[in-house]
Order: sequence, then C-alpha cells, then structure tokens
Amino acid sequence: MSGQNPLKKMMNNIPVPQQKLKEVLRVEGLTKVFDKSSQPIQALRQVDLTLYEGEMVAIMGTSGSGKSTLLHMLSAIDAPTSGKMFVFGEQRDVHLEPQATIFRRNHIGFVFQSFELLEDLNVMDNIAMPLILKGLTNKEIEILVKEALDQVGMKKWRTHLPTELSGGQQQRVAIARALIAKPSILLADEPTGALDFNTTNDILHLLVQLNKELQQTMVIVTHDAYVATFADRVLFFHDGQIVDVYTNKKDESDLEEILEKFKYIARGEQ
Amino acid sequence: MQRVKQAQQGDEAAFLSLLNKEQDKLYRMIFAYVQNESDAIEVYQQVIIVAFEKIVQLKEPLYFSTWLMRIAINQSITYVKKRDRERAVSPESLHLIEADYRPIEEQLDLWQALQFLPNHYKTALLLRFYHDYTVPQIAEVIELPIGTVKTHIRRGLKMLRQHLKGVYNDEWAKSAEKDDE
Repeated sequence: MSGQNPLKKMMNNIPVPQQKLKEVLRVEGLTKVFDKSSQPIQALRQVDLTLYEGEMVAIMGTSGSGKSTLLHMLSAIDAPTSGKMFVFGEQRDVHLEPQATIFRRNHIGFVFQSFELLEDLNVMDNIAMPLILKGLTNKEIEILVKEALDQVGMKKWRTHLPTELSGGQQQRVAIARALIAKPSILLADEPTGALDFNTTNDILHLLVQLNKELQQTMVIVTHDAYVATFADRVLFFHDGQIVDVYTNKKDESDLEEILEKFKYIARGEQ
Repeated sequence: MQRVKQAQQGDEAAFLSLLNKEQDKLYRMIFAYVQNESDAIEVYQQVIIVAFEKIVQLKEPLYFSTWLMRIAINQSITYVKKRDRERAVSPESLHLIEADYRPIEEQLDLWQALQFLPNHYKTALLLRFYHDYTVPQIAEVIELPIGTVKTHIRRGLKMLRQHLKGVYNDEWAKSAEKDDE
C-alpha cells in the first residue's frame, strides 16, 4: 500500500533540521573592463555571486552580456580588473600565474560545447588526462578511469577514438574527463549546444544525476531556457550584471517563467 | 553500487553521497523513537559514524539501504533505553529535557498512540507504512521470520486502533489491518 497513509503523512511532517550550505566559490564586486579598443568595454560590472556545494546553477544571457567573461573569471583563465574572489570562504588571488593554473587544475572541471577531446587519444586516455597531469600512479588512474567510464556509461567504448563516437558520446567522455579529478566546480559552456534534442536531454539528465549523486557543484552557461530548467537556480545576465534570479520549482511552469525573464532581458529593457 | 565499494575502501565522499537520498527518512525514523530534535541529531550522527566504520562488513552492496536502516533502528532503541535509565536516576536533569514534540492537532493522537507501542510493533509499522517496505524487506531489516513480521504488523495495528479509540485515524488502522491479512 503506497501513497499517503496517515502514518506516512505524520512522519513526513516531522521537521528535518536544515544543514548550513557550504560556500564553494564567491565573488564580490567582480569587474572586468576590456581596454583594447578606443572604447573601453565594461564586460562585468560589480558582480556578486556565491556558489554553494552541490547546487546546479544556470547562467543565462544574450551574447555580449558578460556570461562568458564571468566564466573566464571563475576559472582563472583571465583576471578581473577589480573585485574579490573567495574559495571555500578564503580570499584568494588566483588570477596570477602560477596560481591560476594550479587553481584550475585543483578546482575546475570544464565541459565545452565543442567537446574538445584529444583526437589522437582513445576514450580512456582522454578521461585519464587530468590525472596524468596531476601525477597519479597508473594503478590509481586505472581505478578512477574505470569508475568514470561507468558513471557516464561509456565503458564499452573505452578503446574507441573520438572520431568514432557520436556527439552525445563525446560529450559524455568530456564530462567524465571534467569530473575525474573531483573538481570543486564543473563549468559547462553550452554543453548541449551542438547536440540534437534527444541527446540534449540525455546529457542534461546525466549532469543532474551526477550533480545529485556526487554533490558536484555545477555551473552551466546557456542561452537555452530548456537547459536552464534542469538547474536549481537560474541567474540572468545582461550588460555585465546579474539582473534577475529564478529558483526552479521543478514543475511545468519553470520553462515559461524562464522564457519570460529571458525575453525581457533580451529585449534590453532591464 | 560503485559508491558502496568506494565507501568500503574508505572514501568518505562516496559514503556521504550514498546517504543523500536516505537522509531525511533516516532522520525522521530516528525521531520516531527519540522524539526530540537534539537527540535525533545526535543519534543520526552516531549512525553515520557506526555505518561508515562497519560498511566494510557489508557483503552485498545491494542491501545498503536495509542494512543502514537496521543500524538506525538499533542505535535509536539503544539510545532511548540508556536515556530513560539515566533520566530515572537523575531527576535534576529533568528540566534539561527538551519539550516533547507536538505534531499538528489531527496527528497528535496518532503520534501518541504510536509512542505507546512496544518497539517491535512500532518498528514493523514504521517500516511497512512509512518506508513502504515489503514484508520480506522488513524481515531482512529486523532479522526475524516473515511470519513474525506479519504478526507484529497485525498486532501493532490492533494496538494502535485500541489507543486511537474512534478518532478519525482509526479508519485507516482498521482498513490497513484488513489489507495486510
């Protein structure tokens, strides 16, 4: 007998104490000005943002809104003009080398729209790359790669080359590679941009599954409202700032709400 | 299943992620025995520690959930027995005891009736009607024969009914009793 019997109802009403959310990455007053041309461009204007452990955040914005620049700041690929960054609550200056590379290696996992797998290496070796760079032993690498292959369902294809795989399969490999070193944050830039609808669905479901199972913090940059519905919350970027936020209710109304908000900023009215 | 194996090798993160799905239900189950938040939190933390230490002994990763449930139940019952013993011994500490949990009006009778049941009936009913375990699953958790489980459920419902005495929840207890025969 399933459903809500009185005993179950009563038990479900027992309040569960809320755990304090652990802060993974925080930026305060993040500003980026590109000074190359005659007209300086304010790509980011005083952006404040906190990422908590285990959450999946979608960042939506039109091109030129600053979302890609934000990604570069978060991953220390580029340095901000001003602003502070806190890693697990501690202020860090991660934008100068060699700290930047070390930071990326230890804390960031990337997934790109174009997969960016190494064409000459097979699936296993592509996935192993981050661990080789970290200097793990062959035995350790073997165990972790095996686990990663299972997680993304690519065990059967482990000796294949990227050219022998479909887009969706390549992205699975890319995800495995991004997660194998257990990064603090997975950054995905339009991860389903090059995929058809069904494959997009598969990949998004995989990301959600991994997010929940591994409590893996994820940031997905997208211009696709449907993709954003898979996240816990959505941040809307426009003209270098976060102009709106939406927390997904995980029901049918999410897509409509997100589309509305996106259209609003796309029209440039915010 | 991989995570169970990882946890068995000492991977804390894997172990904690296993708990993710079970957390709330486990906490509430513990609460049903200890009846207040601070004790529930303490027992919950004990359960996690014990489970992590003992997970190497788990032969079938498939049975992780039921195995974990057994630990939670045993820890809860042991904790309450110890607490009640100590309470009886030191009346000075009575004022430190947290006020008993008060569920909303309609559920108060059911909650109090549940607290009257001896542990073996209470456990059987919670596993059957809160966690939706099948009778064989319950038998596995409490390590008793299936026939005994059925008896516990039947008698537990009967006792519950006696305590509810015509309150609306009585309807459910009556029909549940019939269904389970």
